[in-house]
Amino acid sequence: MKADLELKNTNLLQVIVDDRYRILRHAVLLVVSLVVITYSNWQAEYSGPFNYFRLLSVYGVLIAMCYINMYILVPVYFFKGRYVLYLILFSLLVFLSLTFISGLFQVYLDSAGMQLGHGYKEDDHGFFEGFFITVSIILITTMIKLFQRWTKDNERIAELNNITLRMELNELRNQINPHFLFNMLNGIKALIRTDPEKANLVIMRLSEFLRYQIYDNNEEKTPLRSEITFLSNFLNLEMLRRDKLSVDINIPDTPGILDGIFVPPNLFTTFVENAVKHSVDVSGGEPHITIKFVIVDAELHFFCMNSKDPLFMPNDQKNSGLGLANIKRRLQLLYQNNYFLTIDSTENQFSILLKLPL
Amino acid sequence: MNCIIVDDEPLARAEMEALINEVSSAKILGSFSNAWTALDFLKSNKVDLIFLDIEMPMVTGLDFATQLSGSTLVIFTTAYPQYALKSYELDAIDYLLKPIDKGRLDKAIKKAETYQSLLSGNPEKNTLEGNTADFLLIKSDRRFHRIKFENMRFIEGLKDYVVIHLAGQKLITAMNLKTFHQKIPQDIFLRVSKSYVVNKNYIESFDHHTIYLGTNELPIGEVYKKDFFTIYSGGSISPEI
Repeated sequence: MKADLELKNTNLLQVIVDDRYRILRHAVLLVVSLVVITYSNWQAEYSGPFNYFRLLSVYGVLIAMCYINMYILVPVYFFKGRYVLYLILFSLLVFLSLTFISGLFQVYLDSAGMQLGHGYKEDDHGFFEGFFITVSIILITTMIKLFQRWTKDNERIAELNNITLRMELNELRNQINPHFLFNMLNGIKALIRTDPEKANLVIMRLSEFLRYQIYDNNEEKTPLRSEITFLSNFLNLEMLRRDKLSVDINIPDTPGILDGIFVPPNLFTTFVENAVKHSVDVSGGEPHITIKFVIVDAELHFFCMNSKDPLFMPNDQKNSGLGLANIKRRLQLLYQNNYFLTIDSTENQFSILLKLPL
Repeated sequence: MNCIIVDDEPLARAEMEALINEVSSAKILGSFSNAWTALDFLKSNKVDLIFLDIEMPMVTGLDFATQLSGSTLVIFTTAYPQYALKSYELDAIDYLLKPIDKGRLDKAIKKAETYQSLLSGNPEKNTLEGNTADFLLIKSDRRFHRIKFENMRFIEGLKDYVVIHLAGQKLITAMNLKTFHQKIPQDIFLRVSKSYVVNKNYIESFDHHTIYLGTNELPIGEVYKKDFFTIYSGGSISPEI
């Protein structure tokens, strides 16, 4: 029922807005105003040729007013925000047209030398009645124009929102850090000298890492297994860059389960990057990162914990929290309110738990 | 020449050590993973040159460099190109991008060695004794050097000294660059960056960031860019890129 109603509404809406129905709309306007004038009281008082003359001239002037209103007054004044000027010009248009019509009748009657029984007299009553009928018909055309404009604006805003969202999503996931790459290359250069075997391994890891960031990243969903491989590559590469860092990655051991689960790519990267960045130990301790993926009922639980040195302060204080704000925005866009995120920070440890529906 | 390496990445330190040993005879006294242990070491050891990474946890290389004494030279080593301008303001000898090119490192170390020998020759006793319409008198090693303005190619500010670059010779004297610039004809000598004043008759070519004089490349500082382009080209070239 509701869908039917909506469909009808859409049809009516299309008739009013769509360019395809333009001719139909104008035909309806022309016919309807003719009918209204023909059957109005005002018209029925007279008969004979004068009546037809009167009908045609009123009709002609009214249509002229409608079109002047729709194509000059509304676009030039109303849509540009000059409402007062619009109202003044609009009233002036109606007033002048009606004066013109009564003048025309007078001239017609005079030249025909006609003497109707009770005499023709355009009294004040008739003039005002005419004024209000005309004003209401013309205002309908203004409303149609307004409505068309409003629907088009709505469509544009919705489209714009859509594009912004898509761009935002793209931006949030396409963040290759160039410095990471150059530092990595510099490290590999050192390994080639001292441990070519390891350099070999690191180049393979780095290639996999880049391939994922550059290609898989653009997919809407990726197997959870690829995402985990990516995170493990990233952490292994980071371990090379640090004097001390130990990493634990726990994944469900049910065979094949990771291949059946698909997640948006790079969803966990920000958390892992944060863990790497904040696990620096300036007092000589052993920094540690633990990552856990667990499947509970129809939910995927992601847990990420890093050790923390209370004396350590990252350099870019002003950017701190930006990554987390971005990922929250992305989660919001992807899952609305169907996700669950808790952040727990103590003096020596920082951890997050993210629960996603599957 | 004694040097140390400061970099938070173990592989980067290993790479730096290997490269330095390949291209020079500089003695590596130590490698440090952070600024504070390096500063500790500097308190009790004489270090001529520091290879300094910029992005390090807690204290960046730029912060570290501002705390160094006048006789310690710095070569920045980093993956971040955007700090280059800032590094020249700190009177760094050079700015090397990772991965580091061996030839580039060689050039940087040679430059450091030149400055070290200039600085080790008691430059504080070198003084500007006078200036006339077309030459300067500089006292160095109890001898007066008469230097014609037309022979001065460019002048470089280096910590508390200015280094006057002549064809095939460098002279160092204790003075800051601004004071020195005021003592020489300013219609010939243009200040182009925080560390350089150049004799415009020796400029062979330039682009929007650099002036080329023979084998020397001098950066054009943001602050001085507009003036340089106005004076040098009479306003016909805009400093915008």
